[in-house]
Amino acid sequence: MASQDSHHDDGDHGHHGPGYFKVYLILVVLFLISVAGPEIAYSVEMPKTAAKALVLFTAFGIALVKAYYVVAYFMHLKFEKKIISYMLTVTLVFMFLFFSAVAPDVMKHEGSNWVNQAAADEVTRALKAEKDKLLNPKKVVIGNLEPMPKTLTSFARTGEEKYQMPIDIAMARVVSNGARQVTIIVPKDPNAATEEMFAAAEAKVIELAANAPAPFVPDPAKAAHGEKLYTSKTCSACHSIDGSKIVGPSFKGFYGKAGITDKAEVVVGNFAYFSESIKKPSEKVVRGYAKGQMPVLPVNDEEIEAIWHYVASLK
Amino acid sequence: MQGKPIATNRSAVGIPTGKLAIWWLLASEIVIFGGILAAYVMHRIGHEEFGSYASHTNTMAGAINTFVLLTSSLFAVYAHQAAENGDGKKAFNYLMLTIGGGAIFLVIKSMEWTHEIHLGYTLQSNAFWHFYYTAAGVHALHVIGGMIAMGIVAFRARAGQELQRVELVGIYWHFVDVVWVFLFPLLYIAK
Amino acid sequence: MDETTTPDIGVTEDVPHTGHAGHEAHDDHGHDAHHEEGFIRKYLWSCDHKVICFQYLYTGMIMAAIGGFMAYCFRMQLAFPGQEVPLYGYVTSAEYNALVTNHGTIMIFWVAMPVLIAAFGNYLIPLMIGCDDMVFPRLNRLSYQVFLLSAVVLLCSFFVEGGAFGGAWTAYPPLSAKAQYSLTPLGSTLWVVAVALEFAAFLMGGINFITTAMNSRAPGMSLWDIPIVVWFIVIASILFMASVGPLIAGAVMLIFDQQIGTGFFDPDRGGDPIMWQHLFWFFGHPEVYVVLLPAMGIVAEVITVFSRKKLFAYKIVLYTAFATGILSFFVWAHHQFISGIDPRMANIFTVTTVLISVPLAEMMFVYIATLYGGSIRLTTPMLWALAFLAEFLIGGVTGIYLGASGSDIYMHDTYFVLAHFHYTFYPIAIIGVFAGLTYWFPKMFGRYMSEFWGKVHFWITVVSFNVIFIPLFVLGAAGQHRRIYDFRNYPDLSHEWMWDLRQIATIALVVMLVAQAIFLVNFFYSMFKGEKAPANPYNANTLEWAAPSPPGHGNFDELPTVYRGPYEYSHPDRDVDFWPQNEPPVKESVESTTTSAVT
Repeated sequence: MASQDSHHDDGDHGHHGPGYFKVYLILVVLFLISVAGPEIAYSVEMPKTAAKALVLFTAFGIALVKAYYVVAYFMHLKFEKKIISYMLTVTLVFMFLFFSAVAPDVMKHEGSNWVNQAAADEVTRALKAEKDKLLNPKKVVIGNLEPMPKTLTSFARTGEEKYQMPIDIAMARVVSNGARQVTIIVPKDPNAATEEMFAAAEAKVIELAANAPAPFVPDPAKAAHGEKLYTSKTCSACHSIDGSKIVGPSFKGFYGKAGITDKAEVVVGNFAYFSESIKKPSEKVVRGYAKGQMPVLPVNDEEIEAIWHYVASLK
Repeated sequence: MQGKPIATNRSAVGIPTGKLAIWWLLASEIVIFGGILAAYVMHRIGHEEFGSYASHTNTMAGAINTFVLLTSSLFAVYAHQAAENGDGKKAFNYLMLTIGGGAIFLVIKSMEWTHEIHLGYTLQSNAFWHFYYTAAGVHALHVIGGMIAMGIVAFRARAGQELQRVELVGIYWHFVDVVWVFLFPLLYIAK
Repeated sequence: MDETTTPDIGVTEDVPHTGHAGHEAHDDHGHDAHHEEGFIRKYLWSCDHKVICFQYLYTGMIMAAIGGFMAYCFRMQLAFPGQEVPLYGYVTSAEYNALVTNHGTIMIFWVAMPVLIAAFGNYLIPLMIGCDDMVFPRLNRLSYQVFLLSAVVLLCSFFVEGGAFGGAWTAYPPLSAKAQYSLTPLGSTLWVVAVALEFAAFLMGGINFITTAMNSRAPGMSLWDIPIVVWFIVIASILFMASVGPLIAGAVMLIFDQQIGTGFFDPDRGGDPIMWQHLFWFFGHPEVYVVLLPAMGIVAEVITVFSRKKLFAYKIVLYTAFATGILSFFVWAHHQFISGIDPRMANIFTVTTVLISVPLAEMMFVYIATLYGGSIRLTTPMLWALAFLAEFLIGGVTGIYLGASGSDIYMHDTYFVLAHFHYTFYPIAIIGVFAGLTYWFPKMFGRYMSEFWGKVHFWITVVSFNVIFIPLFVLGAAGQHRRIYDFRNYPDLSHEWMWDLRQIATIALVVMLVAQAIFLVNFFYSMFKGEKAPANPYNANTLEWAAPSPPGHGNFDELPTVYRGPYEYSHPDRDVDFWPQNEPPVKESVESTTTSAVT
C-alpha cells in the first residue's frame, strides 16, 4: 500500500524546487515583513494613504505569497497533476463570485434608491461609543444582551393566538416593507410598568411635594462622621453634594424629595429608602439612572445612619 | 475488518485515491472558510468601527501563533520525507513535533482569549467579536481535528503501516496553516 | 492494474444469490458468502455500498411518509379550516407553521437528497463503472450514520418544549435567530443542527462518490464511456460540495445567534439579516440542480434502454450539464428580488436566471431526439421517465415568470411559486425516483415488479399530482399568499371558487398519498415473491447488468473491462440490438463488418 504514492512523488522536491528548509526560511522572512510592515505603518508618522498602502501590501500581499509557498512546496501542488489546481481554482472563483454579488448588499449601506438605515446607525453609534470609551476607559460596554423571556415559550403550542407571531403576519411585513425596515413587535414584559402607572406616580409626586415633611435636625457628631465616610466609602465618586448629576442622583436636597422608579413606584427620600438603597442597590432605581452601577458597599448600620445624618443635612 | 476494496487501489486519473480525496476535502473546506471570511470582509469594509475593535486584539500573540504553525508545517514536511524513505519511526517523531506545534498554538490561543474575555470582549460583544471568535474558533477546531488525525496516523506509521497517510495528513495540516496565514492579517492587523 | 492486486474481498467466493442482497433480517442468510456475519454486521454496520444504498433508500422512504403525512395535515387545515384533521386532530397555527416548515425541509434534505444522490449514487456508481465497492467503504458507512443521526435530531425537535421550528424551510432571521420571535427556543436550534449534520454526511458521501468515479473506473473506460447517470451524480456532488460551505458557515452563525446571543444577523449590533439569505440561497439554488441532475441521469438511462437507441449527442448532454452546473451558481439572488437587495443585482440575476433555462431546454430536446424514431417500449419505468419530461417541462416554463424580477414582484410568496416549485421537485424527487426504482428493481433484488400494478400506481400518482397543483397555479395567480394559516380571515381569498379549488387539491393529495400503498405492496411483495429476473432483463449495455442479480459482495464475478460507450443500441452491424460495454470485440469483427456491409 505504501508504495502506491511513493513512486509518484519520489525525489520530486529535490529536482524541482528549493529544499524544505529553504522554503521555510523564505516563509519566516516573509512572516517578519508582514508583522513589521503594519507596526511601522501604525507607529511612524506618515500620510494616511501611505500607511494604508503599506499595511495592505505587507499584511495581505505577503499573506498571498506565503500561502503560495506553503501550497506550492509544502503541499507539493506545484508537482501534482493540473486537475487538482483546477479544482481548487474553481472553488476559489465561486467564493469571489459569492463575495462580489453579496458585497453590494452588506458592505454598502446606501445605494441609488435604498438605504440600510439600521447598519448606518450602528456605525455611527459604535464609532461614538468607541470615542467615549477612549475618554472614559472605565465604562466598558459589553453588548446589549436581551434575555430570552422564558415564560413565552410555553404558549407556543397551547393555541393562544395573542402571544404568537404568526409567520403570515411576519412575512407580510417583510413583503410590504422590505426586510430592512421590518419592526417586529417583541411581546411585552408582563411586569413592565405602563404609561398609566407612570402618570399615576407623577400625580402622587406632585401631591407629596405639596405637603413636604418638617426639616431634618441632624446630630452634629453623626453628621461629621458621615461626612468623612462620604469620601472614604467612595460615595462621592457617583453622588455629588452640589446638585450635579455624576452617575447616581445628587445628595443635595435628597431629604424629603419624592421620585419615581423605573417600575413606576413612588419613593421618598427618607431613611428607610436610603438604607435600603445601600443594601440592595439595584432594587429601586430612580427612572433615568442606569441599573447595576452601584456596588454593595462594606458599611454597617451605624455608618449608614451617620451618612444619613450628613446627607439629610444637605439642603 | 477486511482489506481495502479493489476500487481503492485503482488510479484512473493518475493520482492516488487518498490524495485525490484529501484535495477534494480541502476544496470543500475552502468554501466553508471562504463563506466565513467573505462575510467578515464585507462587514469589515462596511463597518468603520471594526478598526477600533480590532485594535484590542493582541497582535503579538497572533504573530507568535503564525510562526508556531509555520514551524509545525516544516516538521510535517520532514515527516512526509521520512515516510517516503520508509522510515516510519522518524516520521512518527516529526509528526509528534507537529502535534506539539499545534498544542503550543492552542495554549497561546487560550491565553489570548482568556485575557480578551477578562477585558470584556466576549463572543456576544458585537459583530467584530462575533466574527473574531467564530472564525478563529472554527480554525482552532480544525487544528484540534488535525492533531487527532495526525496522532492516529503517527502511531500507525511507527508500526510501519499506511505510510502514505503521513503525506495526506500533512497536506491537511498545511491547509490549516494557510487559513491561519489569512486569518492573522484579517483579524489582527487590519485596524 | 487491479489484476495484480490480490482481491481480498469475496469476489471469488461468491455463490449464486437468490433473492434480496440486503435489506432486512430474513430467513435465508445462508445464501450469502458472509453467512458468519450477524444481522447487525450485515445490514446495519455493513460497508457494502449496496447495503448502504438500501439504508439510505428505506430511511428516505420513511421520511417521505412522514413528510407526506405533514402535507396531508396542513392541506386539510387549509381546505377545511378549524376542523379536526382525521389521524391528527386540531392543527393550531403554531403547529401549522411547524408542519409546513418541516414538510419542506424533510422532502428536500431527507427525501430527495438521500434517495436521489446517496441511494442511487451508492448503488450505481461502483456497479456502473465496474468496480467492487466505493473507494472509502468505512467513510461511506459513517456518512449514512451521520445522516441517520441528523434525521433523528430533526424528528426530536417535534417533542421538545415549544415544538418544532416553524420559520419556513429557508429560516430567515430575525424570525429564526431569536426565540422571542420564533417561540421555538429549542426546535429552531435542533433544526439547524440537523441540517448541518446532514450536510456533513453528504460532504463525506460526495467526496467518496467523486473520488470513486474519478479513480476507480474499470480498465478501458474513458471519461466518455461513463454512463450519463454516473456523470450527473458526480457533477451534482461537486455542485453540492462547492456551494454548501457558506451555508455551513451560516449555520454556525445562526446557532450562535439562537443560543449564545450573538448578532450576526442583527443590524443593530453590526450584523446583517440579508447576509443569511445570501448564504442560504448561494447553496439553495445549486441545490435544485444537485437533485435535478441525478433524476435527469436516471431518465437518460431509462429512455435509451426502452427506445433501443443511442443517446442523442452524449457529449452535448455532458457539456450542457457542465453549463447548467456553472450557471446554477449565478442565479441565487432571484429568490431575494423583494427582500431588499441592491436593485442593480436584481437586473443581473434576472438575466442569468432566464439564461439557465437554455441548457435545460437543450437537454429536453436531446431526450426527445433520443425518443424520435426509436422502438419505444412503454414499460413502467419508461412511463415514469416520459412523465418526468412532461411534468418537469411545466415546472420549467412557469419558472420563467418567476425568474424575471418584474413579474416576480407580483408572484412572489404566492401559491404560484409554490406550484412552480412542486412542478420541478415532484418530477425530480418522486417521478424520477420511481423511474429509477422500477428500472433497477430486477438488479437490486433479482425479481420483477408487477407491471400491471406498476402502471396502475403510475397513472393514479401522475394524474392526482396534476390535480393537486394545477388549481394552486390558479389560486396563486389570483393572489393567494403562501404563509396563511386560515383563509377565512381574508375576504378576498374566501370566494366560493377558491374554496372549491383548495378542496379539490386536498382531496387529490389524499388520493395520491393512499395510492402509494399500491407501490409499497408491489415493491415489498415482488422483493420476495416476484417473478425471477435474469442478470440482464432489458438487454441493456451498461456494466451493472453484467453483474449477477442481485450482485453479491464484491459485485462482479469477474471485474469487467470496458470496450465501448454505454449507449450502443441497435448498432447496424449487430444481430442483436444491444452491445454491452464489457463484451470483448470479436477478433474477426473487421471482416464481419465488411461482409455485412456487402450483403
